[in-house]
Amino acid sequence: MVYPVIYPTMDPLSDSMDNLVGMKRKFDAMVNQGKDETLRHNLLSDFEDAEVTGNFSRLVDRSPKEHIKFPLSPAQHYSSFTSTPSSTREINLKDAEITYHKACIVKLENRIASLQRNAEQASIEHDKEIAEIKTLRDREVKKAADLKSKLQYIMECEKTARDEVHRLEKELQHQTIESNNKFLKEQKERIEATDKAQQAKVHWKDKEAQLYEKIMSQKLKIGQLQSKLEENLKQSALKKNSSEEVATYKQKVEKLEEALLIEKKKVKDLESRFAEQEDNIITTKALKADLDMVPALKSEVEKLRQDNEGLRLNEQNTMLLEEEIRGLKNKLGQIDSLRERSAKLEVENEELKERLTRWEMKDTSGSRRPQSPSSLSKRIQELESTNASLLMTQGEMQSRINISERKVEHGEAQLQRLVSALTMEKNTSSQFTDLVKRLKRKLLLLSKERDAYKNLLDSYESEVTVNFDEEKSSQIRRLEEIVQEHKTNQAETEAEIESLSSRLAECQTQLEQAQQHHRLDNPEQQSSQQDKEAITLLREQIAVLESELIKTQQERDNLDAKIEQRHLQGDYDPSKTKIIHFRLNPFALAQKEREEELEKLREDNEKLKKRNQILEENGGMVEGITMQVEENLQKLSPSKEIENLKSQLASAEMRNQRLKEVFSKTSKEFREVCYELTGYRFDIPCANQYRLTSMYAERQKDYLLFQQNPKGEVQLLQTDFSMSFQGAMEKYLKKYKSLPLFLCHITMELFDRQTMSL
Amino acid sequence: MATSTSNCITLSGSTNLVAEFFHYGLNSILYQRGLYPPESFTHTQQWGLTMLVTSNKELQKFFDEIISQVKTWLMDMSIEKLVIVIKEVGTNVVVERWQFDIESDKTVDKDTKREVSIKQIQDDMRSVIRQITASVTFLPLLDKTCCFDVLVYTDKGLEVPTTWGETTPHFVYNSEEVRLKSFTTSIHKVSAAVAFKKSD
Repeated sequence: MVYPVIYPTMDPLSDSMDNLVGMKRKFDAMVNQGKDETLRHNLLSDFEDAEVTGNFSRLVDRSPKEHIKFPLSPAQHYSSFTSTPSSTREINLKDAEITYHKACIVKLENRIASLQRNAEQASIEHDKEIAEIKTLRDREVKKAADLKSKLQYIMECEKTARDEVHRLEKELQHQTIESNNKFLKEQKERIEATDKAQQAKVHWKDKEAQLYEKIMSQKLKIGQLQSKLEENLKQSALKKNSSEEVATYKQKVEKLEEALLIEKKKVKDLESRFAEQEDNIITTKALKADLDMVPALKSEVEKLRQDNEGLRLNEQNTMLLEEEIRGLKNKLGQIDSLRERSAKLEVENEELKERLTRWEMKDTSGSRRPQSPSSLSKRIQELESTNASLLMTQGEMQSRINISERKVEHGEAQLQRLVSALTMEKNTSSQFTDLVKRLKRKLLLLSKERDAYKNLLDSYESEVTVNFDEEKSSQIRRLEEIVQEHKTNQAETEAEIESLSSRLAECQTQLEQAQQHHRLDNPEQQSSQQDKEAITLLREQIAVLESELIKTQQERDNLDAKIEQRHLQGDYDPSKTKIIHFRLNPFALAQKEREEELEKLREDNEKLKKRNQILEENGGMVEGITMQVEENLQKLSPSKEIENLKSQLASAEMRNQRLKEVFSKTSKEFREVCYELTGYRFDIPCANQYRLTSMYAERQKDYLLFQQNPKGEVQLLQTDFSMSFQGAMEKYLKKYKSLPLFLCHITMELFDRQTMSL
Repeated sequence: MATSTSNCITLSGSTNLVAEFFHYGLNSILYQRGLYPPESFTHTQQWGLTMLVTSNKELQKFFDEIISQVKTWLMDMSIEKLVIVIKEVGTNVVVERWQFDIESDKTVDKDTKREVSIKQIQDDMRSVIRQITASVTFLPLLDKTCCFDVLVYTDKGLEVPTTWGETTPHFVYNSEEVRLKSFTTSIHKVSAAVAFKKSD
């Protein structure tokens, strides 16, 4: 019951004490788990002691005394309280006691304050110690972990080593067993071989004996055989004699056979001769009959001989005649050929003349231009030849002209003569015509007279028949003949005149031609001069061209050489050819190997550098250096990490790009296909809105607008175009609630409109 | 022997001959240029010559791969050149380039037969191989680690297996070229040339 009195004053202390206790407990738990629980209680109750230090051991040592001391005063207090006598003395005593207690309390309070401070210090120190210990512990834990990992690693190594040892042992055992087996086998084999060898020896000995026996027997046999041989030799001698006899017999037989054959042949011959004889008899009979006819035949023969002689003479004559005929025919043929040749030559002559004239004509035209120097030279030759020929022809023509002039003169003279003759003839003809006229008149008169006389005669005849008619008619006939003669004469003279005038015209034309020809000679000379100039020009051009040709040939050769070089260097036409190689070729493999090696060396280098660095930092005394190096290496250098990330980023971007491309391509294809199949182009002007434009829309503004609401239903929005299909909307959207039908209707409608308009 | 008949050649026979030539040519170049250790080559007799053929398994596999593919291209006449490029592994610089131009007679089909002298062809092939061997005398020494690659020039439109990829022509910078001998099977004509770095 003492505690409740003290308690309120103790309260703050107990709080602080609790803290302290908590800390201490933790500390205890960590440091000294083996200490007694009661001892700890004692420690905790020590709040009288003023000097509480961080030293734990002192606390522990002091605590039992205080434990004994402390419970005394409350006990006394308690006992004094329980007795309660009413005497003042006691009261005073008690007061004194109270004062004492108060003093005690004050003391205690001071102590508590000091303890608090100490406790705080201790707590701080504890904290520090705890932190240190913690760090120590952490290190220990790490070390332990390291050691564990090492241990594990070593264990694994050991394990693997053991396994290997096991394996090797097994192998060794196996090998030893094998080798033993082999050894045994070999031993067996050896024993067998020795057995065999012995057997073979025995066998050989047996064989030797056998062979010896055999040899002996052989020798015996040989003796026997030799005797046999002698016998045989004798027998063979005998046989030889007998065989010789047989051979002679055979020869004889053969001879006889041959004789027989000859005889047979003879018989056959005789038979054939006999048959011939018979035939001959028949023929001789026939010949006898013929012989009877011989004298008659002789006479006939003589006659025939005479005839023959006559015929021979005839034959000779005919031969002569034939020869003559042949000569004549040859002559005829020659003449014919000559004629033909002459005709041909005439034709050729005419042709040549024509060609000449044509040449002349062509030269005057001057339109021909030389195509090439060779043609030009040819032409020049031609022209020269033609010139020469023309000169000749000119001479000829001049002579002809002279001749023709003479002829013309002659002709003119003749013409004059003829004209005079003609005039004479004309005169005579006119005279004749006059005469004819006169005669005609006379005839008329005479006919009239005759008619008159006829009439008279008729009248007389009626009276007396007198024949005057015949004389008159004969006279008339004569006169008519004369007229006819005149007429023929006139016609002849006229024909002559015409022929002469035609000849004259011919001569004139010839003359004109000759003159023209003469005139044409000069222009030709001019043209030949022009040609010469042209030739010189052309020659120069040819020379230039030849030099150019040589140059270009050289260039071509150079280029050819270059092409060849390029070809040898492996040049190719990328439009036709491509170059490929096997991907896993030795070079690629070698390079890859090299790269790998390089990478490995780099890694090694890095490791060694780190190792070096660590060794330098720690002055060469480092434990577990490889571990540290690996730890360091695991922390990737930032630049490398960045590079990795960059490459990853690049590849990701690349992938994205490709996906975009593919997506845009497929979406484009999809849209195109949709347009082709449905006849509508789908656009998305803004989110959840779809614009459909028909393939057959008349204007660009004619489109339908749809919107998708959050439920996923598609609704038609009002546009000018959709308003024009009110009826269809009523029918298909409201009645059937089908958008496809509506769209189809619009397509049909627009198509109909277009075809109508078309 | 590649062909059974003595004096008649078909497309497949010609292909086999040319492929055989490539096989020995590649091996000779590798041996002569010292790209692989000489002890990794074994002696064989071919066309009356002692040839060296690699016994390196990986290399053999690579050659089998290449030659079988080249055969198909020889058959359909889509191959224009076969090039062996020797490069320095460290610097990736092309130092040598052995080029085999292949001219194919495109009028030939599977059933065509040509009268040829197989012996003549083999003589020609042998002389090309001899020239390859002899060219070591004028080629510069390969003093750095080198390795080789085989390039094939084909028609642009040709579909190639996925194990093959397009590459560059691998020109030799500042090169000198030497044309070597050629041979023809009358169906395929192969002319060899070598380009190498000019010595300074």
